[in-house]
Amino acid sequence: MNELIIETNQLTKKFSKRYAVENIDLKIKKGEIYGFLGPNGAGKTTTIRMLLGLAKPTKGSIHIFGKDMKREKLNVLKRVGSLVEYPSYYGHLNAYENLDALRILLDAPKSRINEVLSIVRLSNEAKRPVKGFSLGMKQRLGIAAALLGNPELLILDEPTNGLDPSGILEIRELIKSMPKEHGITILVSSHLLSEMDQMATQVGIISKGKMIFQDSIEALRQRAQSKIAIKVDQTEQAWRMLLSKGRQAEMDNNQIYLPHTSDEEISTVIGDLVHDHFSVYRVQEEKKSLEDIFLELTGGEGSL
Amino acid sequence: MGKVLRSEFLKLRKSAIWLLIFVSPALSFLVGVGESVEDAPHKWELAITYMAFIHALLFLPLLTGVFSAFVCRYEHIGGGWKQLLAMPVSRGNVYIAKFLLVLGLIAITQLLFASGLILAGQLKGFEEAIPWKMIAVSLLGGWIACLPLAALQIYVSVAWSSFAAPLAINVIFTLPNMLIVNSEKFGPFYPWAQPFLAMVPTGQDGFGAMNVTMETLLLVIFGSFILFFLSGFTYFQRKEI
Ligand SMILES: Nc1ncnc2c1ncn2[C@@H]1O[C@H](COP(=O)(O)OP(=O)(O)OP(=O)(O)O)[C@@H](O)[C@H]1O
Ligand SMILES: [Mg+2]
Repeated sequence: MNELIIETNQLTKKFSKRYAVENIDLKIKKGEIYGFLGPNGAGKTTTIRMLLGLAKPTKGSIHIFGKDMKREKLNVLKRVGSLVEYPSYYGHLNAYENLDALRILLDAPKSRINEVLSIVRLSNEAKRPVKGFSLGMKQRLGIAAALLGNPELLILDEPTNGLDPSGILEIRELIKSMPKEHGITILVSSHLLSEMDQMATQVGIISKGKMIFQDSIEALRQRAQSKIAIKVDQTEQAWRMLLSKGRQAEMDNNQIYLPHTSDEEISTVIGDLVHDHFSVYRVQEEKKSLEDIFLELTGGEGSL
Repeated sequence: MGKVLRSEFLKLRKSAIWLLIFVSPALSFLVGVGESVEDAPHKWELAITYMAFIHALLFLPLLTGVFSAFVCRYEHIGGGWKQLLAMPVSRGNVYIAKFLLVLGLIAITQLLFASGLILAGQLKGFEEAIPWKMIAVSLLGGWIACLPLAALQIYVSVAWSSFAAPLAINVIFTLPNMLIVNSEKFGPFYPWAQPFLAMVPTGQDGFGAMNVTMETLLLVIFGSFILFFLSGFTYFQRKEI
């Protein structure tokens, strides 16, 4: 399972003078759900457009299924399903005809249309003109279109955009099920870390066009080290007392913080506090959330 | 290529464009019925010339622009380009397919125009036999003369996501047609005037650019067609979506 499905080398896109994407080395293995994360304007869509051959890289190379995109674009695209930015549709056609126009290009059987419509739960709306669809329904249609050709690689740019909570859940479950059931590899972009946390196996974080983190989701979680927060009545005196005993205590927000330590250490600290007649109100473990890490990594520009 | 054409045709078939192809033939038909050709010796020639004034001088250039804008419009408004071009199809084939659709629509319009002409002649009881050859030459000539304009308009329509802008430009360039067809010097080189020049039967006393021989006209038409088509084609190959 170590075969690289997507590999980019120094991938760069420059618009006039500004770099939208700079020296990105994406590495996505077979069967992964790769969460491509970054705040607005980070360069996610631009990267995806280059992966699909919609835009030309200023510099760098792209290999998908081990094939050079420059030379074997059509052979690669046959095996890729995609949804870029916002869903595409033909308003004057109904959902079925929309998919049929694409099916013809993919040489897929007609029966596949009804299959993908039922996967995204649009079977009942199949005969309605798409111009009357809500954003969420168009989004589902876009996902159906991406699945139409039984792709080995799915590239989805913010696929849950515009979906209601149950729609988000459905799509997330769908995405999670695909590598298991069909061995599909998925690149899914988002600016929501919480969403990725629930489905991605690998994450790449991009900010201002640069890749600032690329590793497994566990590696990201490990950065989320916890601290112990202690709330007492006279914070400052208690803090000084702990410092005088050689503890690495910090004071912030009228609380005392200790780095993550063993249970015995904590019980000694509490013993000391009680012994010196401080009233201990609360002792709790404070985990740094992935969100905090994301904000740290992206320099505070991330959104929630 | 066949796949792309079938897909394009499916998208076009369900659109409202089909109403438009009847407009010009219908109006030309009314002109053909209305104009008096009673004492003229060549009634068919005269009728086709009268009808060409409205059809070829005005509507054909306008429709060429509308058809071109139309086959690109549903890609522009629904974000269709990025979906279409991320499919395993070559950009060249997509461009050619769109162009062929435009040519097909013009061809249908031409056939309807001919039906209008023949119907008008029958209604007015022209005693001469229907001059099939002349009609065929006129229709085909008009259709071929639309090639450069269609190539130009599809280029503009692909490049511009607005539906109205390419059309407005087309209207602006179509309006001076009346004057330009009178000029022997400019007429044959003006893509908007070429359909009219090619459709009006030669061999009678023409005026202005109508004295230009068919050979010259065809040469100019094919030359400019190749130039416009290749420019648009290469532009589309490189376009960032
Ligand atoms: N065609 C273009 N011309 C000029 N600049 C562009 C173009 N497309 C994108 N950019 C710029 O490139 C940068 C990256 O944009 P991109 O759309 O890739 O961001 P994104 O990560 O997808 O953001 P979002 O979360 O908002 O979708 C932005 O600064 C944007 O303004
Ligand atoms: Mg984006």
